[in-house]
Amino acid sequence: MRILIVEDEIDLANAVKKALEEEHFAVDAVHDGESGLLYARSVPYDAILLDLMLPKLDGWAVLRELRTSVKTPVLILTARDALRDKVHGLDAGADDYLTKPFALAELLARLRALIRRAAGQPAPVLRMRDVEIDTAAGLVRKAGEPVPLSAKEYALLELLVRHRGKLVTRAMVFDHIYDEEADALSNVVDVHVSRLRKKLGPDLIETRRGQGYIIHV
Amino acid sequence: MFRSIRGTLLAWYGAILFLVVAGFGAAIYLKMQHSLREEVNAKLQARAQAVAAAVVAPADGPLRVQPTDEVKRYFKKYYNARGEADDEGVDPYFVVWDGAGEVAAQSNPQLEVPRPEAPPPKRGLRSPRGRDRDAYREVFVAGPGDSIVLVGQDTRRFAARARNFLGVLLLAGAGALALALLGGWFLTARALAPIARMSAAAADISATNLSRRIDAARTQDELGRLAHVLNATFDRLEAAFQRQVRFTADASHEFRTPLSVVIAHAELALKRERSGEEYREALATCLRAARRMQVVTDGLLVLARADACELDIAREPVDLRKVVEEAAGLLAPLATERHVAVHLDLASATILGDRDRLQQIADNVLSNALHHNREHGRVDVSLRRDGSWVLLAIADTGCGIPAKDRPFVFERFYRVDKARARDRGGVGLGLAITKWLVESHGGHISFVSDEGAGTTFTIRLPLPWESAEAMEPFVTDAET
Repeated sequence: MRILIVEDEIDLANAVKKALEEEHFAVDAVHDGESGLLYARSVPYDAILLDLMLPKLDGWAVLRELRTSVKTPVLILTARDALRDKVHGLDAGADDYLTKPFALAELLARLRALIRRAAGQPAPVLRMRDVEIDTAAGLVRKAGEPVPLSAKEYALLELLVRHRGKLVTRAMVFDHIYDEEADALSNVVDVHVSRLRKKLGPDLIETRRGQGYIIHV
Repeated sequence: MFRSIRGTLLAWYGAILFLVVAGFGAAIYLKMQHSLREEVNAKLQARAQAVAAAVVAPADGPLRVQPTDEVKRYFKKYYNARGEADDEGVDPYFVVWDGAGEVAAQSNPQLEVPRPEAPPPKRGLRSPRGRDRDAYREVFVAGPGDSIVLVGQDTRRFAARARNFLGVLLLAGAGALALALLGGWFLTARALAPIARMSAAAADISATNLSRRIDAARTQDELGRLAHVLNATFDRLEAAFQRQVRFTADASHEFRTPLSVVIAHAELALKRERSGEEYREALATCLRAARRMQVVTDGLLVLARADACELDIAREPVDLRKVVEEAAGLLAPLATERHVAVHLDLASATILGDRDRLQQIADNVLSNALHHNREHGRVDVSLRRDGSWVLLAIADTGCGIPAKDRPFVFERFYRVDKARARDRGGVGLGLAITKWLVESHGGHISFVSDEGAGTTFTIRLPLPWESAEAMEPFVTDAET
């Protein structure tokens, strides 16, 4: 899952970025409205965290521009706590609203819920045969036994399971599990897939040469 | 006594109207009664004269009445058995006494009429003598041969007529009064309705609904003017209230942002075991955020004390030139860092004030000029006298203040460029505090800004009286 943070308070953006990365998210952080809009339009993020008081272009304007073309769920993260601001924010096209100061745990839970809803899969636990992904805890079990996965392996597995029955292209994998700073080699995905096969069974993930990967229902 | 203007108005209106109607009624009634009586008197007198003229007093015989046509017409019932009613429907009667006081002739023998005590007036006198006996009005005149001729009439019918008339008067008066009061009730209701509407509108305008106004478009009258005055008051109230709301929101924003930094970093650091480097970094970030909150708290405290008039401003002689030089010295590293040249052109000027506060003024304005300057720009600081004032002007070559921001520059938490101000730890209280400090010294701060070319802040402080008198020659420092 790839997240965009638009927050001009750099210290805060860094903390949130780090916290999200520890939860297997790939995160890009920008610090003004204009870059926020540019990033949100060019990368298919799974969710956007948006501050309202931003330099260059404020949060409302970013949201308005964004909603003309982009469906990505947006969570407003702001110090403005007046009821009017919340109503205005949600009505302008935001999907959720969290006021500062907030608890990281709440931010993460809301973000996961937002992504679940956007994917049309409201259950927090995803099941594929005997494999179980607990997205809230970030844990994977096979036949009830916990399977230790690296952050990227987990993110890849979650992406494939969320799109089960559909082809997941290599480009989609790069878009959703790596942030802009990762300079991943093209074969890195194959490495993660072979590791997942080793840990979860050889026939879970099918490779379609030259196209991508698929998990059959 | 009355709880409403309407009640009071009506009570006064009713009372005055009652007096007028009652006065009119009484006058009409008395006049009518008087003229009835006059009429009766005149008729009786005419008959008495006629009877007197018909009295025959032979020297040898008793007095008798030789009725003329006129007398017969007057006393139809007595002379005419057919009994045509008298034109008044009231039968008059006459009695004639001879000189000896014996009744000589009488139209109605059943009547007991005592002989008048007083002597009748002499013939030819204009007013006859009259008397009231029970319900009878009687007039008597002197007849021939010392006789007395009396003519009387029952006046009960006239009294009844007067009573009827009084009844009609009372009824009409009461009706008129009631009608007028009813009309008054509706008129006052109409006249007072706008007041009721205004008071309802004013009651509806509360803290939550300050933007509503009383409809004043309708009238140019007294009420319309009142509505305009009230609306103007509400305008000011709303503006003050909104300033307060904005201030509270801004203050809470200034605390929430650093607070969320502290919470997020602390939470993240505590989530699992971290390396020493990570802990150090988290603590350093928390410290930065805490420092920022400290700046906000300090600024707010100063302003809160200023608002509560609890801040003491000392009044001791302070040489402003030294104060400005000190500020320039203190900020020299910043000027070097930003490659801004500072030029001082300072006259010596001693004013009465608080050294620390004046220092704060100079620091704030000079550091703003450095921060908002372009690289390799310059700042010109001049201090000179202008009559009984000292003028401190600080001109920068920065980007200027956009026209739309100019009215708000001295407002609390107002920042023209929020992102840049935060980078240097500004929270938007500096100029608000500076303005307050200048004004608490009896001075005035203003600025002229040219977008793209720079901004000049001018601070005017009053010279003490003797010092202004002395008119020392200018002492100008070389550029530093």
